This record gives sequence, C-alpha cells and structure tokens, in this order.
Amino acid sequence: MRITVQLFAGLRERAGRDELVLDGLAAPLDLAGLKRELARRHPELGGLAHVRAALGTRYADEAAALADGMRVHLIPPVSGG
Amino acid sequence: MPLPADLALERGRFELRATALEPEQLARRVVHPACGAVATFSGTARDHSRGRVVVRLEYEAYAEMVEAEMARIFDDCRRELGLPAAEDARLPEQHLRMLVEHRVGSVPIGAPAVAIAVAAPHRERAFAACRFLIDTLKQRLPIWKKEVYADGSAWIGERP
Repeated sequence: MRITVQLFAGLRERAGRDELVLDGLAAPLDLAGLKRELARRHPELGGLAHVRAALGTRYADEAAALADGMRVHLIPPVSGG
Repeated sequence: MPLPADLALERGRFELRATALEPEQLARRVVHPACGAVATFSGTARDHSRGRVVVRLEYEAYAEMVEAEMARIFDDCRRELGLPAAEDARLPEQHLRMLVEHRVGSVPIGAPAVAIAVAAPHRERAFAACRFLIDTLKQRLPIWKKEVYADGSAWIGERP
C-alpha cells in the first residue's frame, strides 16, 4: 500500500521537501511501523523517537492502523509561543 | 439567563496571522460587562537564547490542525477551571472569554509571536485561564519556532 507523509520544520528541511510518498508498504501497518519504515528508507530524517503523528487534524496513537492511500502528518516536537 | 452575547469568545477564538499582532486590541475585544478581570499574555521575540544572539524568529504551522487543536485546548481550559462547556453555560458567573493569536512567518526581535487575552468575572479565573492557555498551547499546538542567528539557525524543540 501507499502512504503519503507530510513533513514540517526540521524534518521538512532535512528531507528537502514537504512530502514523502512511501510505496509498497506491507499491510497491516500502524503508525509505529510506518515510522520504522520511514527511518529505514529515509535516514536523512534523523531520529523519529520524539516525533508524533497526526491523522487529519488530530494527534494519533502509535497503534493507529493505516490504510492504503492515507495521509500522515509528522509532528516533530512543537515549539510555538 | 444564557450567555448569548458572544458564544464564539466563550468557546475560545483563535487566529493564525502572518502580520503583526496587536495584543492591546485583543484585550479590548474580550471586555464584557459581566467580567471584572482581563488578563493578557504576550510572548515576544527575544534577542538571545542559550548564549547566542538571535536576530529574528521564524514560525511554521500545520495551519489546519492548529485550529482544531486550539479548539480542544479551549474546551480543556473550561473543563480544567470547573466550568461547563460554552454551550451549556447559563450563569453570569460562568463567563470565560478567550482570544488567542499566533503569528507565523518571520517575527522581528521585540515583536509578539503569541498574544492571549482572557476576560472572566474575577481575577483568579482570568489569570488561571491565561496561564493554562499559554502552557498548554506550547505543549500541543503544531507550531514550530526557528531561531535565526547571525551565522546559522536552529529549530527549537528538536533533540540531537
């Protein structure tokens, strides 16, 4: 299956773009699994241990199940204010 | 008597802006006859950080989610302070009028990056809400700050 990952801030700069498309992912897949696969395919992103993820406009649990075609927003540690 | 006047402010209102914030305008907008206290907070761009000279800040946001997450933070704020949801508030004592603005893009030194104004019947709730809102948005809003130095830059919050 295919997942599109949106990147922000430092992740976006290290990737050199604001979106990554991951193809050929094996189902079933949860967010934790996606992060592992992302780290393997894109080591330039650096450590993802402290990176959270959002589905739509809400933080999602690492165990959230992903389906083909979904869009995941990766949220590095926030620093607003 | 319901709290009709400005349900939007009782729910909490948030704006993401690419232009200069005006904290004193915010304070004016939350004022209400049933509220005897207005508390405000501004977070302004500081010229130094961890021993380095900062020349400006740059903020990036996941704009669509910022709106949604801030709405949840406003709800949490009312709950935290023991108030009913804005829709269910009926008494003048239950007022809590909240306005928050955050800037994105480049912010010059000395300019506000975030501004909060809260009105409540009494000062304890106004102070508490203001504090809750700034502390919680710093933990949860998907907004990122980059410090720009004379010779480089760093995203704040990132760990090596």
